[in-house]
Amino acid sequence: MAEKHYGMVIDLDKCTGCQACAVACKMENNVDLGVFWERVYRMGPIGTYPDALEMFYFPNQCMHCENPSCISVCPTKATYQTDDGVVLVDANLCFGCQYCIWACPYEARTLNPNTKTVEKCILCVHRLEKGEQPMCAYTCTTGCRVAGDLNDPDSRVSQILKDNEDRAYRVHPEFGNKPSVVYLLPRKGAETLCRSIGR
Amino acid sequence: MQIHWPLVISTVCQRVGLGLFICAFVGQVYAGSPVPLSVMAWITLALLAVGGIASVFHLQRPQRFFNAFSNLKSHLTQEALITPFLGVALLVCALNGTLFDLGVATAFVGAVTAILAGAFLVCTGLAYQMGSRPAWNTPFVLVLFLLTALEAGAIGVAVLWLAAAGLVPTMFVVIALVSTVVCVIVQAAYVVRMRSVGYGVNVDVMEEPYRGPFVTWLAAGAVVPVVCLALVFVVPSAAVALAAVAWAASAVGIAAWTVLFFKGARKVKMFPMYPVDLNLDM
Repeated sequence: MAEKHYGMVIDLDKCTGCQACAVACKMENNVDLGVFWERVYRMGPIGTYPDALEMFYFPNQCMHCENPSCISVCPTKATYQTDDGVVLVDANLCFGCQYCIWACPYEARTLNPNTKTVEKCILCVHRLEKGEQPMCAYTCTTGCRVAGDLNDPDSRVSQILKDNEDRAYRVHPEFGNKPSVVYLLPRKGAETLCRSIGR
Repeated sequence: MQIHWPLVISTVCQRVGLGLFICAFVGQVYAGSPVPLSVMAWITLALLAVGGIASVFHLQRPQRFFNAFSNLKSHLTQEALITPFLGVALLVCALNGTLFDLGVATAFVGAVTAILAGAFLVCTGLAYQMGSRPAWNTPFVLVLFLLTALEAGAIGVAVLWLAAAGLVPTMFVVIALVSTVVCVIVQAAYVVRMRSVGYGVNVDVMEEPYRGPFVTWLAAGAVVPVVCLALVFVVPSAAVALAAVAWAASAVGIAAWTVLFFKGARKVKMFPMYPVDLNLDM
């Protein structure tokens, strides 16, 4: 069997923008004030009520890319990838050049002004290893997030992806980073986005 | 993107200093030079020292600087690896003729130093080429790093030769003038390209906050150097002053250009089709 490859699927149809995930992430990982590993943005509203109105929420975090540009640019090798595909930062090696922040196309990284090192989502790898969901997914009020082994066809995350193949979307695939966080596009409310990516 | 001033200072010093050494070495090989290469090496070392100190201020934890040698794939590591060799080579060139005499090996050491200087500039240029910043996602970035170094270097050599010997080969002023014009043309092409990079981050340099650095670059980096270098042929009696003004203006122009370069390097928007701007501009 192939090695584990942790990833996450986020159903944008279910996200209500309650920010519970962002709060849970901060509490679980003791994320400093002013530093965010997880954000939820509101896209829209655009268009005219009721028929052409578009709006959805977009939770943003590290995409734990298969081919992350942050790793190739990091001069200190502080950013690295585990065998399970999770991208992490070794705070003891980082010297805060911020090159990775520039290179990441997903706005996933923040410079912590207190530790003077770069931080980002760790996919709650400490929980995943115990078979638990990351805190954001565990807390999500609508169950829009599910994490797990993308290489295991029987895992819940793989099943959800299989059942929703037509809605699966990786942000900016043209950069070749191959994000391990896959979004399921909203069935309604994101027509402009769907049109622009040929869906 | 925020302007990272230490990097502006650092990259300007690199280009002015390393460009000067490379052009001085080439000038010495092909035309002989009234200014010893050691003088050029001291000036380059001084500029690199200023740039190096500035770049250390960019690091949040400079005490961990030695971690920078870890990832050979990173252009920053490549830069860091070249730095000590370049520093030693420049120091050898600088001390040649005073502490010791390299004799026939002078040209070889000069060539090695010039190659290291060029390699350093290439690594720096490549470090800024990245897909996440559409304005930087182009070979223009590397080409402009090299061209600006050539421009500033050629003018600098002309200034120092004029100051030392009162004259400079006409061909050298022509090279300085032509390299400046070519550099300005490529910079203009880069500016035009920035207007349609897509991803919701097009940059119109006539709008704020880009207008200020653009106008400064246009005046200091384009008009003043070209006019002053052209006037060297018209008013040869004021050649030193004109060339010196052109050199100073060129350096200011590179600095203004670098500010514009940073400001224009906005990160791709996640969904450019929506008015919400996810670009946190870090």
